[in-house]
Amino acid sequence: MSALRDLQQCFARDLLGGAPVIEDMVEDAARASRRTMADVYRHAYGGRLVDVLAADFPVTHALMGAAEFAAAARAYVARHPSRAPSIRWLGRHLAGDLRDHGHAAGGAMAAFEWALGLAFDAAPGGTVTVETLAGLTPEQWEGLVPVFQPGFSDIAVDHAVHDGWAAFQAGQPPDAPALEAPVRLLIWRFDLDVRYRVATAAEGALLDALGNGAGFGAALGESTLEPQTAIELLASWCHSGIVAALRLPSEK
Amino acid sequence: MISGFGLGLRTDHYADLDRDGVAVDWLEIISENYMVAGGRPLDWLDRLRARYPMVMHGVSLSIGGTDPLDQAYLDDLAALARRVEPGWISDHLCWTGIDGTNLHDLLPLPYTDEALAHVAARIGQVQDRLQRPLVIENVSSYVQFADAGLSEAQFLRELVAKSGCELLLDVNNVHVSAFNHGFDALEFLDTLPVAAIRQIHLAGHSHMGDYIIDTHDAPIATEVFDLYQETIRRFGAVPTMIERDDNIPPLAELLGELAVARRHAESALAMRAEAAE
Repeated sequence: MSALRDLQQCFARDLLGGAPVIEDMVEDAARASRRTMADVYRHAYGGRLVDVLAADFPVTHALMGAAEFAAAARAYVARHPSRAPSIRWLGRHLAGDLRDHGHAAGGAMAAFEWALGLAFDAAPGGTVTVETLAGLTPEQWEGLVPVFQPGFSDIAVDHAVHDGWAAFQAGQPPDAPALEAPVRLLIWRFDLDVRYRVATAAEGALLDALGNGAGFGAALGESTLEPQTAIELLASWCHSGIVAALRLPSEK
Repeated sequence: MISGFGLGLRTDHYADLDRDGVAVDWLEIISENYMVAGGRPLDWLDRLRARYPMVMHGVSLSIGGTDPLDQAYLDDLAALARRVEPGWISDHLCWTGIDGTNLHDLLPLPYTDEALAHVAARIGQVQDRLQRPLVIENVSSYVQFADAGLSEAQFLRELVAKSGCELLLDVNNVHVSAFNHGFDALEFLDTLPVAAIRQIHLAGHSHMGDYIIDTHDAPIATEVFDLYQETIRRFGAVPTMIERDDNIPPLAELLGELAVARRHAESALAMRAEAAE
C-alpha cells in the first residue's frame, strides 16, 4: 500500500468516528492546536451531511423537529456512508432507515420527498395523446404495455404525508397522522412540474396487474377490472402525463 | 471566450439572471448540480447558457484520491461538457473519499513527491478523457502534513509542469491557508507559474480568532480584496468570480461586490501598466 493511500485511510477512519489520529499526522498550525484544526474536518463531515439531508428532506425535517431529525440523520450517515460522488444521492436510504429505527411518520414523509426528488430531475419522457389511443387496433390493445414517465413512483404510505407536505407548502405545520389504512401515492413529472395524487383502488389493481410487464390484455385477465374501466384509467394516465409511451406488440 | 467578471450560478438567482443587461460577464456552474437526467435544473441551465458563457466547476473528481477514478462520473462530466460547451472545466486539488466512501469534503493532500506523481498521472487521465486541460483549484486547508517536502505553492507549480494542467487561483483560500499555517501569501503567489492562471475565485470566510474557515457565507473580507489586488498586479487580467454558497444575498448585493472586485482589478492593472513603463 502506498504511503498516500495509508494516510488517506487513517484520515478517513478518524472522520468516520474512529480513533483520533489526524493530530499525529500533521504539523502545528500557526495559532491553533492540532486538535482544533483537525476538529474543523471532523465537525464539517457530520454537520455538512446533516445539513444536506435537511435541505433535501425539508418537510421530514419540519415534521420530526430539528433536534430529532439531526440525531436520526447522524445515525443514518453512520449506518449508510455516502457511496456516490454526487451528494444528491446521500438520502437514498433515509426513508427505510427512519422507518427501521422508530420514526414511522418521518420515514413515510422521507419516502414521499425522495419520490418527489426522483421525479424532479428525471429524464424527460414523452406523451400519449387521446388520438393515439383512439387509433389502436384490438390486437394492439391486447398486447400494449404502458411505459410510465422516467421518475414515476407508486409508493404506499401509512401516514398522511401528502396532506402534511401540502400543509407545509402553504406555510402550515406538516402534520402527518397515521392512516387507518395505507394509501398509494402516484408521483410523476409533467413537463417541468412534479405532480402527485392518491391512487384509487381501481388504479392500484391495474398497476399491480401491469407490474410484471404484462400486456394490457393479460393484465385485464389478472384483475377484476371491467375492460372499459381499465381503458378509461389508461386514458386518464395518458391525459395526465403519467404514461410517457405505449410499447406495442410489434415493437417487442 | 471567457473574460471579465462572473458569478457562481445558484438557484436563488436563476430568474434575476434570466434578464437582459445584468452586469455579469459569465457564470460558473457546479458540475454535479447538473449531472442529472432532466427537469428544471437542466431547463434553467440551457436557458441561462443561451445568455452567458459558462465554465464548469466540480467538487467530486477526487483528483488526489487513491481509489480508481470514477469512470461513470467522468462520463457524466464529459456529457455535461458537450451540453454546456464550457470555457474550461475545473476541480480541486484534494481527495474526497476512499474505499468507495465519499466524505463530501475537500480533504488535504500531503505535498510529497509521491502525491505529486500520483496527482499528475490522474490529471493526465482526466485530460485524455475530456480532451482539454483540467483547471485545478487550491483549497483552503486546516492541517498540513508533517514531512511533506514541498510547499503547497511549489506543489502546484510542479503539478502544472508535470501534467500540463492550469490553475484556478482561489484568493480567499490562499488567505485562509496562509493565516492557518503561517505562510506568506505573497510568496505563495510569486511561486505560481503566471501563464497557468486561468481563473480566480473570490469568497467570504469565517474568522474564528486563531484560525479561519472557508465558509462562502459572508461578504469578501478586506484582506482578501487586498490580496486580490496583489494577484492581479502579478498575473494581469484573469477572469474573476465570486463564490457564495450560504446566506445567499439578493443578486444586486453580489453585483455590488463584483463591482468592488472590478475596481480593485482596474487599480491593480493601472499599477501593473505603470510598472511596465
